[in-house]
Amino acid sequence: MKRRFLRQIPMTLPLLFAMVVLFAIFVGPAKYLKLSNIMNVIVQCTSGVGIVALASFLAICSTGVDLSLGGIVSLSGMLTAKLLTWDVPLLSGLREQSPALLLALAVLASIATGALVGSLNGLILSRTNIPSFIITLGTYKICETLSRVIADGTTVRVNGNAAFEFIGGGSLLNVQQIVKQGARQSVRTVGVLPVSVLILFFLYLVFSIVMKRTRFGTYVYAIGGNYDAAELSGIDTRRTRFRAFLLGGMIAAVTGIIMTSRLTAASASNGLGLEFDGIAAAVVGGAAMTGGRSTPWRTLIGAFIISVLRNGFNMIGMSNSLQMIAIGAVLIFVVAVDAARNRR
Amino acid sequence: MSDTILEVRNICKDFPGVRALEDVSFDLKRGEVHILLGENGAGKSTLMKVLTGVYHPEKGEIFLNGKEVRFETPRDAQLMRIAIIFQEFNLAPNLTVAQNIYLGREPLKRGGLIDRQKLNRDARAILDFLKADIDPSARVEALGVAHQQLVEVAKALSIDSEILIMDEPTATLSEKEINTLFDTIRSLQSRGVSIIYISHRLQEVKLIGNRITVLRDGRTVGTRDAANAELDDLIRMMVGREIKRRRIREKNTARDGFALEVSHLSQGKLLKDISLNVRRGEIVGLAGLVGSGRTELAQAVYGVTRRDAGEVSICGKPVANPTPMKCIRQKMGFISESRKEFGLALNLPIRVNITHAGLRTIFPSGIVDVKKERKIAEEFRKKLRMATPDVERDVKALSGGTQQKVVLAKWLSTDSEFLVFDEPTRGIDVGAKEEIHNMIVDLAERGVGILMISSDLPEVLTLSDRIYVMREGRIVREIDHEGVMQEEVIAYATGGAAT
Repeated sequence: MKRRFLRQIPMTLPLLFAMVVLFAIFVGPAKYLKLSNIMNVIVQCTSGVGIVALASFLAICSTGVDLSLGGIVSLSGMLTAKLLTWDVPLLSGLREQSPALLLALAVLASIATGALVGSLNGLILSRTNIPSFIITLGTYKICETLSRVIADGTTVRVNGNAAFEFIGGGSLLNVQQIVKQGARQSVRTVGVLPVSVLILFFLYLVFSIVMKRTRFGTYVYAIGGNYDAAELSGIDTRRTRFRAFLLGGMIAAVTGIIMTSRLTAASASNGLGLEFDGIAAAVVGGAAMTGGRSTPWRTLIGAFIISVLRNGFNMIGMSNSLQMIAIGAVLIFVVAVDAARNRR
Repeated sequence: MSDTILEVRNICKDFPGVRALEDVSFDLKRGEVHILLGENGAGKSTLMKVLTGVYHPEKGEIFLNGKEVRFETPRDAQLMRIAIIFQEFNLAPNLTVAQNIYLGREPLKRGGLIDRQKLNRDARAILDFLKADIDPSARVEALGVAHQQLVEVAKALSIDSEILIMDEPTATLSEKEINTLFDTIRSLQSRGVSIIYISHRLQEVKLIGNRITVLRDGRTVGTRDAANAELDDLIRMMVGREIKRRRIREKNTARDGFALEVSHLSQGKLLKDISLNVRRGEIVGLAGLVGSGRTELAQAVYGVTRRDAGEVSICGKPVANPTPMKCIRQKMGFISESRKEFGLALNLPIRVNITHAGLRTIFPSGIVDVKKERKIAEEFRKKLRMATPDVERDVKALSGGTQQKVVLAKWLSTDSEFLVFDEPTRGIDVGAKEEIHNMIVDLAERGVGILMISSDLPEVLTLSDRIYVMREGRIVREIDHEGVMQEEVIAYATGGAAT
């Protein structure tokens, strides 16, 4: 019984732990393990790869891949900013009279856009034989371009909207921390229950249940495990794959909103590239590109591994390009170890 | 007990260029185990796919409980309580046993979540009935083949099947597992389930069957009661008495020197202490049933798989740690069984495919000369009479027979001195078959040593100078062509004769 429990712990968890220990040694434990840095990693993960990884996992688990996620993050983030700041009579009026309603409208419109792109992916996928790689590459470009058109060459800033900023920057619980800088001391506020992180955990909790305890989840795994068997068992494989991409689009839109809120600005390049980080996180977490492997929680560990790497390399002072090389190497290493283990 | 549950009348099924089933009729009685016996390619599996809605017959009727039925999809057949267990199992390896048994029919709790307790409990009940010691919450990939098969049986039972079709269920099982399977079949029978059991293993059909229907070349030859069926009689029905052995070759063209020498080759459970040789200019047939280790032997020689022990020499030179590359350099060629999987690049034109294996010898400089390539391809097109107007067509557009000729041309362009043919004429029409036979004879007369694996007995008998018969990973008999009868080969291959 104990053995079995041990075997269920993914090997990525000790890897994550080892990385934290290593960085703590290199950076200096006092600086690295400071509460503000820990929360920083978690928030960065959330507004970056953290939630997108869940969408990547859904697509990969159902034997696909979703490259449009980065484009959806960009477009939905841009749309949120634009709707909140656009100077057209209708929206300006609403901004004056009922800012809460405008905020709800902007958030819903963004998520609906994500759902639209996701369902477009899913629809083409279920009606044609085009591989998801190609379909989502196309929709990625469409989203990116739409985002650039809306941005019109500038960064769309959202200033002075406290309610909106609360989504990505607010926290339900704060602690005061004394920061020493040379001889000076100052007090800094660190949020320990950030709203965005709560959203992340809520989404992972929901999808953990969905994957484990619902028919949809079981069918996603079945499709990834043996497509023919799923079909012969009477599973509507097309509908299942459609739904996986639809949900993926909505999840990516949430990231777009959080990202814009945290930065209080949207630029068309926001989020681009996250689709590959998401795939990397899912794969590091244990997903197989052939589908049917891993779980949402394992994917989250994968996302944290990538975020911890980024943050750690930053603190060491490693240049951005070197970071990319190191992350690529870690990805290949983890997958190679996993492949070797599976071969026994 | 004696009423008929399923009746099949005059079923015909065509595939492009081939009539797979012609006027096939048989009936299944309630609670019986009805064996469908026949050689590879006799049409057994096609018939089963017609019965489960995978294929749609051109002609003929199916009656279930006296009513005519028509299956459009496998789902339709399932709803009529017909279940099939294919040779390659249809299970999702990453899901649990219980999830697989009830895939697509999960019990739900109020609120839409899956009721896992009920799922595992129901699965447990079915597995208990089958006396299967399998944990319902274990993943299928952690199970052995025999247990996976039991999961398939459980899945079939869970939809309350009246008719269960098993396609060569013992092909991958050990002796002990086969006995367990037979116990399972008997307990299903006592439950009133009718079973169609496809097999080509003669030993087991009398053990488990009530009646036996023999198929040959897509037709029903006859039905016998298992109790008083004679083994010799069944063999004759499978092979067909009227086929006359006609020797294509005038003379044995074997020369001095060996194209292949294998001594004491072993590989795990698949190949056991195999020794054989092929002389230059000789055609050696390798007979045996599917799964007897013939293809595995060829792959071990060619370096596709690793061998545990034994020596292999190709054209007089020992080849240690073989790889396909090394073998090609020793002038060996391997014309594989599944031309789609291993033999051809389907999306490329004939011209490119033909020179694929010989690029190194044809273009020693490393630069491909398209004109020269086209000239070579055109030569082969004419010589092998390929049914295509030009060599720029993609291979996927060609018929099976023409594809096989392209594979042949590919190896002929390499100046090989030893060639292995794995099922050279499977699934191709009679005309193309004869041309390929002539080509093989031609090669032998030019001094090429040939090892031919074939399940087509007349083919082995008419072409070979010598024949090795394999069974369960061993060579059980070596026969000079002159003294051989078809029945003798079958008897050795199936274990019907003492060895």
